[in-house]
Amino acid sequence: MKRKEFIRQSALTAAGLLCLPSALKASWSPKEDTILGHAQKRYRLDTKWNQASFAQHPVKDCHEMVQDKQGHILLLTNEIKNNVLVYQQDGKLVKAWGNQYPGAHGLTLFNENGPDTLFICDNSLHQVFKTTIDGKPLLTLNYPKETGKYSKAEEFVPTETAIAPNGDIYVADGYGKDFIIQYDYKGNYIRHFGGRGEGDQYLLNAHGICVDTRNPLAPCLIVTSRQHNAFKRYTMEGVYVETIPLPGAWVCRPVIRGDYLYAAVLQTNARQGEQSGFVIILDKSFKVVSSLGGSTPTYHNDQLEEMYQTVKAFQYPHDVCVDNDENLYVAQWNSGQVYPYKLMPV
Amino acid sequence: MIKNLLTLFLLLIFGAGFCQDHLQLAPPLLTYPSAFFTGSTQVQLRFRQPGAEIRYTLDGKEPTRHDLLYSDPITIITNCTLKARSFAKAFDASETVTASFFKDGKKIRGIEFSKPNPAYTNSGKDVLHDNLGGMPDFHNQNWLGFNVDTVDVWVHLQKKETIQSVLLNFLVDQQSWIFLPEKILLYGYDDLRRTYLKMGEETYESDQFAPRACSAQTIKLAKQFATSLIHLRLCTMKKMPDWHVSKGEHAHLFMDELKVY
Repeated sequence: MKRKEFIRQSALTAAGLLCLPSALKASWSPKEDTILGHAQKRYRLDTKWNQASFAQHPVKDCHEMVQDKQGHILLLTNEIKNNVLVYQQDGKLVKAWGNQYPGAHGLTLFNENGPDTLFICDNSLHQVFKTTIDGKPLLTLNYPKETGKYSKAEEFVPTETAIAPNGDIYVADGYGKDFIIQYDYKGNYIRHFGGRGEGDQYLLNAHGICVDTRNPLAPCLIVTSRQHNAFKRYTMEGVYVETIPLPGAWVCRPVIRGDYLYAAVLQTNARQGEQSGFVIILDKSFKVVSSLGGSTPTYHNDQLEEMYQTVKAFQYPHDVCVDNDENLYVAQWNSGQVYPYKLMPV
Repeated sequence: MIKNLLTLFLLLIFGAGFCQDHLQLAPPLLTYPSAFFTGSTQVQLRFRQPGAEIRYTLDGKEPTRHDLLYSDPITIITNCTLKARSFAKAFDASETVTASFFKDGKKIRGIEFSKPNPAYTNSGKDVLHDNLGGMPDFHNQNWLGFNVDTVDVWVHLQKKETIQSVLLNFLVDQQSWIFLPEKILLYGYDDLRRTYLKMGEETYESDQFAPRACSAQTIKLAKQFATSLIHLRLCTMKKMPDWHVSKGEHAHLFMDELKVY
């Protein structure tokens, strides 16, 4: 393996292996409870939420989490012994399924007027799978040759999906060519946009995507451009609207609940490969109002100051799930195979 | 007595169940225009965390709660090592963040060096004496990267000077295959004999993992020597050590500045 390739694939992995999972370091503390976050969005951290045993239900990278209509919390991991772990909100494991997704990365839930469905992006298989809530296959999306931008499956490395209210599927090729590919609910290609280039409308590491319906008159797409340290907004037809700079932050997918947008920050520019992640919360006007484990969000003339980690609560957080009671669950990548943490609002 | 012990036991059991992990602070963020300067330079420390403070030292000692409290940017006027940590009541103190700063030494007319790897080069001919750099990030344009067996550097001083040492600033980023050289040989040009004389040698071990950092290395001359031309031969690590995940591969050598004192 050439050095450059090695660095891209393994540098962070090596860093992760050098430290113990936080859970193992946990110890009884006589100090007062530690509260993370700022202003109205402050949380108490529970690192021992998971009640699954590693021997029976191991995890590798914990990539993404969603809550289904029954209230269960679903975790997607690239551990093929059990790609999906299904939890109660109290951390008890309900069931586990899936062993066919070696590169399981993106997990999105969509309710189709009754039944919940899942969309799983697999980095290794270069495919996107739609399944029932318990994993029965419904639809497979292969590499998007209709775009004219791809000549083979390996070029397509999907990281995330977002589903519009009409069922249209948006796939973010975040580790491939950074295009967003839009399909109808049956999987027929409609259009693509984004991709790499010079200009605000382009993306670099389009790692996440979500549909923002907080303004019902103007629903839009929010796309992660992780190496730009930004979210970018597009219309539902893929027309670029604006950039939301998040200086210093390797931000993962946007997750919207109520008026707020939540996102894991994998690490920072200032401390790459040093487990420097945290979680940010943005209000409806895309202003960062709280940072869990990160520096107090500070604006000068509407410009956000560079963000960085201040409390080592997380290593490499990769996703945030917000449940019906406003609790957060944080899944982490390359963090010593640690299970998700739960954070309760205070 | 037994009742008291039982109460204590129960407290510990339930305490362990309900209390938080002992969380540690991250170190403060350290920013500076360059680690190399003429006259003076300024260092800024940042750590926006409610209830936290930054303590620092300039004498190389580990900062404690009783050391200097950071409030404004620090002005550096001489060679020194800054160490800083964050402290707060509700958290464990952070690890230490360190940066060393180096003032100009003897005036340098020019530096010639072996051809760097094209991916890690810099077109500026003064790149090794431009007072720019000292950031532990190999993407930073100030670094010259080499993956050949030996790297030669010739330093032309503005005039003949009595020199005592040469300082080279290296990058150590072992996860990215960047190691210190195995050996540095230092030669001074003797005008009278019209030949180079070996004046110093340093060897370096990389037998265990070291965190990513700048690593300034001083090569002291065996005795003071007057010259206007210095030759350094740097022997790159040819095989990465057994503990490295890519053991046996050729290491890289990265350097960004040279000072003569």
